[in-house]
Amino acid sequence: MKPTKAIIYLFVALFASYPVVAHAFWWSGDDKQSGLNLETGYDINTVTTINGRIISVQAGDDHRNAQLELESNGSRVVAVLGPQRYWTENGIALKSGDYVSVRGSRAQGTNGVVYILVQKITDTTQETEVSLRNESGRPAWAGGGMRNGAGQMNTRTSPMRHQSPGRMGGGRMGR
Amino acid sequence: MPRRTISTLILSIAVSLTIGLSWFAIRNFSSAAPIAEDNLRGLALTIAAAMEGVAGRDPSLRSLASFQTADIAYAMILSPAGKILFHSNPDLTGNNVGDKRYRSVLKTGTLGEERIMLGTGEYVYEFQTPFHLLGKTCVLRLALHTWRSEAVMRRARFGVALIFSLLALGWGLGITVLWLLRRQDAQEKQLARQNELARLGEVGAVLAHEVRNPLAGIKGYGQLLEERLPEGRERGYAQLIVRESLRLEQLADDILFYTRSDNKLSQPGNLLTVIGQLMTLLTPQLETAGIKLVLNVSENIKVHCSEKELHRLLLNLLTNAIQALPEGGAIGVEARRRGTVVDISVADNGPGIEPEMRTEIFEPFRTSKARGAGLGLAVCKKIAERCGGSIAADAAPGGGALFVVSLPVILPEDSV
Repeated sequence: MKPTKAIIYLFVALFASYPVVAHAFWWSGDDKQSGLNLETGYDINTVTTINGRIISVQAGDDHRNAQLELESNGSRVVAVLGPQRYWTENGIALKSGDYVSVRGSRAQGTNGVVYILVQKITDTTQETEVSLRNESGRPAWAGGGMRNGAGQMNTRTSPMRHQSPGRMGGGRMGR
Repeated sequence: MPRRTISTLILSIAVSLTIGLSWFAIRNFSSAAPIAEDNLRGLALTIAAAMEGVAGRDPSLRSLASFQTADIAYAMILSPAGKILFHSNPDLTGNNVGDKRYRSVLKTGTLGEERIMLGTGEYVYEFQTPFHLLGKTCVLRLALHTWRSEAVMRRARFGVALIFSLLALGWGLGITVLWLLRRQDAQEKQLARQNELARLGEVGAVLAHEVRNPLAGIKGYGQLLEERLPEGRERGYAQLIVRESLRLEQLADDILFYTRSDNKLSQPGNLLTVIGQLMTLLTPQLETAGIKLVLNVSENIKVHCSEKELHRLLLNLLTNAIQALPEGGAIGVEARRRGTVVDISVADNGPGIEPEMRTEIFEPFRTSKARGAGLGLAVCKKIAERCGGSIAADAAPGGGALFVVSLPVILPEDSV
């Protein structure tokens, strides 16, 4: 092997294994990148309503949820609509530029992106609305209907305290 | 400065630099976590103070609804009885909190902080502090997003990754350069050896045509004089002429042999026969030098090496051993079958060979002796390789030098 070739191969190998810290792309619904449970995760403590304009719509696929990229008060938020198949069958027609009001559980991923796990979305431009979760956050695609208070439990992780959806500060809501 | 010293120095500097940078990176990384924690605590205290100020001005807590920052995941104010007096999700205001963790804050009057995972899968920093409202001590519970405050940790992680990657790159380049230099060195040596052999070939041709023939005449006349002259000084001179002519003839033979083609030799040779011939030849010399020869060759082994070449090879090795024992000693010759090869070892109890010289001594013209051209062992190597075998030098078990010649054995099926 010629020395020049050997050096080129070495550089290629080194750069291929270069441990670049993953800076997430803005548009990303990948659970691995956000570190969030985007499909069934929800926390009523963080429920909020945001109003904004759709920048882009991503229909999703078998591995990624349907998502919207919104601009709200100068900041960007990703609204997670749920599995692509469910959204295709039960969602409403949304397009870039529409103004929407989104209610859901707000979370910030490990990539710094702010997500809202949508409970209800209203397209104020087209005046259409769809509910994707019940009040306690149980997703419609999880089966068994959207019974109120049917929040799904997540596994407790030690030593971190874990707060399940439908609970406030570790205890079930006293409604 | 010797090359080895320079290499050691460079390696020491590289290792020190690696250790230093690794220490710096790890130290920087380990100090980042407390800084991030301090950032979060500071932020929580600031928010708590601001919220207490707002609540002080508006005890109905309605104004707090507009108190929002990007860092707050949620905020709630709990009464001593556990009722939610305020929640950033207004739907939850008025409910009872489901846990009793706030009580320890009320009881001790100190801050409480921990990491919790929310139902969304997000890890947040939860901060609880006593909160004074209308003369009562309540509890403010804040859950903060950690992403902004942990920027210092991400930077530290990136720094560690960068430093280790650069170190890996540096070491990779260093090793490549070293490898290239060594390869170049080896190529230069190979070239020098080829040039040496080419020159040797020319010398061999000259010796064959211009020296050997006159030398034969000188030796012949010397022998004639040795026979005809009476005992005395003149006859001694004639003997000297013959002895030196023979030495020159041997040298010419060695050079010619060494520079001849590298064709493989495959004629059969009987090891025991050759050793017998050598015993007859060398016994007077061994006795004169006071050297004891210990033979351990019982099996009659046939090898793929002609008796003439085998004789030359073993004679060179034994002569070498005799020369290494000027004040007497012992030489051991042993033959041991090892599968399809036989290992013929010649060991002496002389001064031995320095470890770094053990491969070099088989190169032509490498000698530590005052007399001799340094071709004997090179010829041995050439014969061993031409016979499909090898030769190696080592230290003998009891000190001294050990030469092991490995030659392929003629198997019964070979002779059919």
